[in-house]
Amino acid sequence: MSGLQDIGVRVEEGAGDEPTAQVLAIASEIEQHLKAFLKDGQSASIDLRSLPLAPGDYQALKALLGEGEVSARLDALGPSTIYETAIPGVWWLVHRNASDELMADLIEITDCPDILKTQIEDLRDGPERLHARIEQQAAITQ
Amino acid sequence: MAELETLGEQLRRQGISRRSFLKFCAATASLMALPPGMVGAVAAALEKARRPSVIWLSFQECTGCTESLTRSHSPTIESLIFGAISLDYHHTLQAASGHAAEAAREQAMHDADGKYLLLVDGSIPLGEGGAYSTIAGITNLQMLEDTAKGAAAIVAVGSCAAFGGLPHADPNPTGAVAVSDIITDKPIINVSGCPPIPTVITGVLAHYLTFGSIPPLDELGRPLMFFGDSIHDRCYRRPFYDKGLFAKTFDDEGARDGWCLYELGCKGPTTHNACATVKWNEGTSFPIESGHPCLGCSEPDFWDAGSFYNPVPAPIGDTAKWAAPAVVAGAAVGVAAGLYGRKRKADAQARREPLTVKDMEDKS
Amino acid sequence: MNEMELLNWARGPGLQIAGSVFVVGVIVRLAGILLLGRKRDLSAARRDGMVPGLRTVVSRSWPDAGTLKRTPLVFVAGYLFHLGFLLTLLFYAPHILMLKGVFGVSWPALPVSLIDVLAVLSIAALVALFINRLIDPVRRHLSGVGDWVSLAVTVLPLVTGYLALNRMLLPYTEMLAWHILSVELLLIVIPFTKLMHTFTFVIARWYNGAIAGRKGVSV
Repeated sequence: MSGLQDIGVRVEEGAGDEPTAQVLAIASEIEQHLKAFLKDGQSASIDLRSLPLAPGDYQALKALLGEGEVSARLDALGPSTIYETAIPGVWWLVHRNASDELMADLIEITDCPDILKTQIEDLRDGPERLHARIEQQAAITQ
Repeated sequence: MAELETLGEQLRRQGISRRSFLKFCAATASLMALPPGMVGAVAAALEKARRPSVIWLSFQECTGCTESLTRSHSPTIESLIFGAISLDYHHTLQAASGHAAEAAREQAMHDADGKYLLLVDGSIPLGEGGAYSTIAGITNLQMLEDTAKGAAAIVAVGSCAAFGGLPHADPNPTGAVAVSDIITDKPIINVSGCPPIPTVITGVLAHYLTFGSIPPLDELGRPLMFFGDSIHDRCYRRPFYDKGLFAKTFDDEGARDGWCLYELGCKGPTTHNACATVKWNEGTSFPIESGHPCLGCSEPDFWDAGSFYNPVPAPIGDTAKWAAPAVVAGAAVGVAAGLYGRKRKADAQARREPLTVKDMEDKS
Repeated sequence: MNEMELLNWARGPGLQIAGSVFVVGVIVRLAGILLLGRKRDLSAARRDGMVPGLRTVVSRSWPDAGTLKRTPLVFVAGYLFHLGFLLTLLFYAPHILMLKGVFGVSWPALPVSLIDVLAVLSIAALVALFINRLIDPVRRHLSGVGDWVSLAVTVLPLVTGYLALNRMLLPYTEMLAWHILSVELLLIVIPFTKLMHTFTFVIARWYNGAIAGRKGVSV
């Protein structure tokens, strides 16, 4: 009986190969959305988990889009990483829960993802929170 | 017991920021396979959603569907049980047992009459008066009929509850049937699969939680958002099928190069499920990607559709079993008929009375 | 009955029933033809008829000169249909897999795009032959129930197959089930109609060649 190591497993990830049809299709969709945004400011979002990606496609897409100037980390119900790719207006958002499991994997075409902006409901609590922290500091120093 | 405050009020009470809520909504929208543009609609709906009471009945099943559900991370099973829904009865997951458990079920049914969500996994055996599967001395059939009366909707989780599944396979010794064969007056969502993908189960629940309604269903009662496409139509190996590049055995060159598994018995063309896009184990892979042909486990009677390793076009069962007797029968009947024909011809020739010109002249 | 149950029935009991009727029917008819035999030829044979007969089985695949001139439509449509039908039946990959499931042998397939074109051409040829049979008063007068039924059960597998391949009309599982059922209908009809020529053409061609050979006519 041959061992597991004798099975000639070939890993399918074609790192460094030319982009596959699926990656090019997504890139084309991103281009359409960018043009639409430039025309009438309409943001768009692509849910990567709704697409049939072959092994290696995800990494190929990431390599194709590259990294830009902005990257942010969000700590809300678990960590999320948000960064602008090398293509201005194309943002990549990865949401994870408190157990670091993947919740959502999105590409957004916009000038700034909504989730980065402060929400008005939270802003309304701002003054109250500031006062509470001032009183807290005062109580400590006394 | 179900809470009276909405999900939005509950989250604010727990000090969760609006931004966190939006992240939760984005995750939920993705889970429900909704386009990301609908996150706003999801947020508006979840704001107003109230925690429904959920009763989970396990009948003639292998517990694979519960196992699958507990692998769901999105939302986590804990957040589901304690946060978004009120899971008032579940054999495997609940702490209570015996009479206390049955009492909890009856209490939940009473408190949320007409409004609770009933989840069922496992088929319902009808043979021997239902004696093949009972809980606390009550047959599955009786328990289903009683509990379904006050349910707002029923979700049949897994192929057993949706279509009869494995117990329903030929010769079906326990007389197993699906939920929809017994309950005909309540909306039923069939979440089939053996088991269903974890996030498909929670995605359907999330839809009901968010919008309070049944998602659009196909002719077999399965949510179109997860069962609308066939595996074949979303399979990443489709280019190989289209080019006619098939793996012939499990370890040949074609198999190693990731060619199409159609000749090895893949039921992808006739199977509807989300495996090719949502995938398994948090999006890691799915059977075809691992090199194994699709079994067709989310379709009715997939156990009786011929071998898992015979392709879709191949006949079901052994052809020789009926062809050989047919040849023998044909030969027997054919020879008999042929010989009978020859005999009739010989008799006709023997009976032949030749008519000569002289005979005709004599008569006239 | 849902679509999966229909497909499983077509691939299982349906095939068993249709296949049995087909096998029994064809054997009974062939046995009848062969056992009834021929009238004894009392003239002296110039030479043995076996080899000329066998040669004729093959040579009659090419028609004699003048046939094209006399009946161009039937000639072209006939060839187009038969070639298209046989090629799509024997060289489309899923059909090869089906035959492999029954007989255990397989062979290389033709590209799907070619099969697609051949199917359309075969259907067009049959439609042309149907119209020709309908419009020509002599042909219409000569046509009986068997002729119309034969046309119908032959075109159905081609049409349903084409619809299934191109995902048209019905969802795939259901369309595939109807395709297989239409083939089973064809199988049942063959032994009872002129479609028996599928097998008897060999006997007929051999017989004609054999007589000619016996009489000394070069074949």
